[in-house]
Amino acid sequence: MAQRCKITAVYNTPMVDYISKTDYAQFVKDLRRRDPSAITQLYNTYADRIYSLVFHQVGRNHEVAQDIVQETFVAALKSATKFRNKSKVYTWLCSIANNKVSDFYRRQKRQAKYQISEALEPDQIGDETLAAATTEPTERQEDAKQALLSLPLHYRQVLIFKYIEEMPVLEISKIMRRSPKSIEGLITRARKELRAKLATASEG
Amino acid sequence: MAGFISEGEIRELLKSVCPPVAPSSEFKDQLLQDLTRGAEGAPRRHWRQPRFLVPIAATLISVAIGYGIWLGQAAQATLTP
Repeated sequence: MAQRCKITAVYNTPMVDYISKTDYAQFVKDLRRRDPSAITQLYNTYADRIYSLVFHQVGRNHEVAQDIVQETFVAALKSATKFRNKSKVYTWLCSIANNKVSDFYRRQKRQAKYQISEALEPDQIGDETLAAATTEPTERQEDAKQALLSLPLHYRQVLIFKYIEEMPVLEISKIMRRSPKSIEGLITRARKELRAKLATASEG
Repeated sequence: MAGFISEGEIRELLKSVCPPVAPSSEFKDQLLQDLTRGAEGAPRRHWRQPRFLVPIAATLISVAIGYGIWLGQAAQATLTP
């Protein structure tokens, strides 16, 4: 069972739940009962993906990502009994993680001790950063990284869901709790802003 | 670079700056342990939850009171000539 749930490719197979369909219904039932084996299965299947998602949303900070992932799974288990299988488990987890990231930034703003960009210094705690991360970034990639980080949170989130997670608009709308039409508009605005920032960076 | 950046280019660029990242194994193990331990301590039987327990208790008390009243009436009927 554990073998079947192992993540084989994170980004190459977008929006696939890595649990077979027949097992899925049982898995959801067990999850609602908060069965320990279902929890282990949930965690082993999605923890890395959720971590990666959060890590890029919070400006590549492992410490903050760890806190948010922990909060996400704790909240997921608390509300597991209410999960009605209307969306995929991954979508449900993304939605919780998304809220936790927003909460984090809201808390930061309220505390106003320091600016977000200063507070979220990227670090290198994770020991399993995959191959692509180890290569030296080009100037263009560096510009893109900075541009993405300087975008408003909801722009960054929607771009990550659209281009990195390769989620359909409907799925994103469930996660961000907006209408599909509004998500389409948000993607357009976020893309425009990113293009402008990249153009400014390359000119400067 | 000042030229138009296509959607495909944006996708490639974002994918290259946001590669998949995994947490440290110590963090993963610790969190999994905490989660499963938390779940084991959580209430798992529906009937033990207050929203089920309160109506059950109310029903039992009503039955007991009803039986008491019935018993009282029955005894009165037996004693009355």
